[in-house]
Amino acid sequence: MREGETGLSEARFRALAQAYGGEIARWPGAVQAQARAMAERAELSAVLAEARAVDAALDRFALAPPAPALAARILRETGRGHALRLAIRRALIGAGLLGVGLAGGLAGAAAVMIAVPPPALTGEDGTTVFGMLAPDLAAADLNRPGASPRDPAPAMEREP
Amino acid sequence: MVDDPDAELIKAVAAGEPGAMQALVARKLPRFLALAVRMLGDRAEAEDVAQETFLRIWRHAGRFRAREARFDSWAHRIALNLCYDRLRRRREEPMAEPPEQADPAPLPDADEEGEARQVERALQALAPRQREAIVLVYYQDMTNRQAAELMGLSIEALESLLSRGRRALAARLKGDCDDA
Repeated sequence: MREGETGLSEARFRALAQAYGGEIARWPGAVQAQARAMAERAELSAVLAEARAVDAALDRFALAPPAPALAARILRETGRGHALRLAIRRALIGAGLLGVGLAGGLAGAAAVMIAVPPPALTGEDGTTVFGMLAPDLAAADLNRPGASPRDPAPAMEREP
Repeated sequence: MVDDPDAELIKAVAAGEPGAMQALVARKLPRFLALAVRMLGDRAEAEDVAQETFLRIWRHAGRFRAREARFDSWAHRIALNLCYDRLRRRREEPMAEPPEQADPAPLPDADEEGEARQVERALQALAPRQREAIVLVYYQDMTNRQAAELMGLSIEALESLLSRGRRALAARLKGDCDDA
């Protein structure tokens, strides 16, 4: 019989006494009332007495309370860990703020590059850092046999 | 949601509230130390286990899920794992001197302290799982359901461990008394 069941056999009574001891209050709640009624019987009362002898032996193994120094040691250790955790958190917040600042600066620089047109690379006379700019047509005429960059193409003939 | 009297306190520990850890230590240290002393039979080792248990609780308090388990069961699991680590290490590392609790000789005196030591030795002589079952149910006052869940057992299996443990304990104590 287990917790929640309604009947209690004598064998189960003995098994419960062997497992939980001679105090019926320590037994599963569902069987306590019935067990108390059954404990009136002499043979089952003897079962409880035998179990109580083991309980009494277990009770003899009493312990002294913890020394205050142990509690202090534990609090010191966790306090040290707490301080370290706070320091790490502050460092991470600082690094985060620095990161946000850097990211903001980079984003601003990128925005300026996109929004503002680049400065003119050509001079007034069509010179660039790579040389003189020539009209597309003139560049095409360079492909003429015998043409040279110094030999500008003749003006295009126009239809009258 | 599991009905847990410690839920608010562990939440405060996780939030780093001042005084929360101190309150937790004041409330739970006697219980966790008693568990470790009875599992290990060595007070100094048990104090180390209790300290490490609280450090782990403090470190992992934010991960504790009140809906899934009671804090007390969760913390008992931490402490028991640490106890089993120590018991395993004892088996793996043969000691120059055998642990005091393994000494089978009866104590010469029968005073209160002597009787307590007899019981302690008898408890240490049990198989660790039998000892764990007795410690959780008898000394830590856990219900059979809580202890069975904590040990990953059915209630039937827990009851079997309890019965065998108590029988072995009684036999050993009787042997001690007969020898004395």
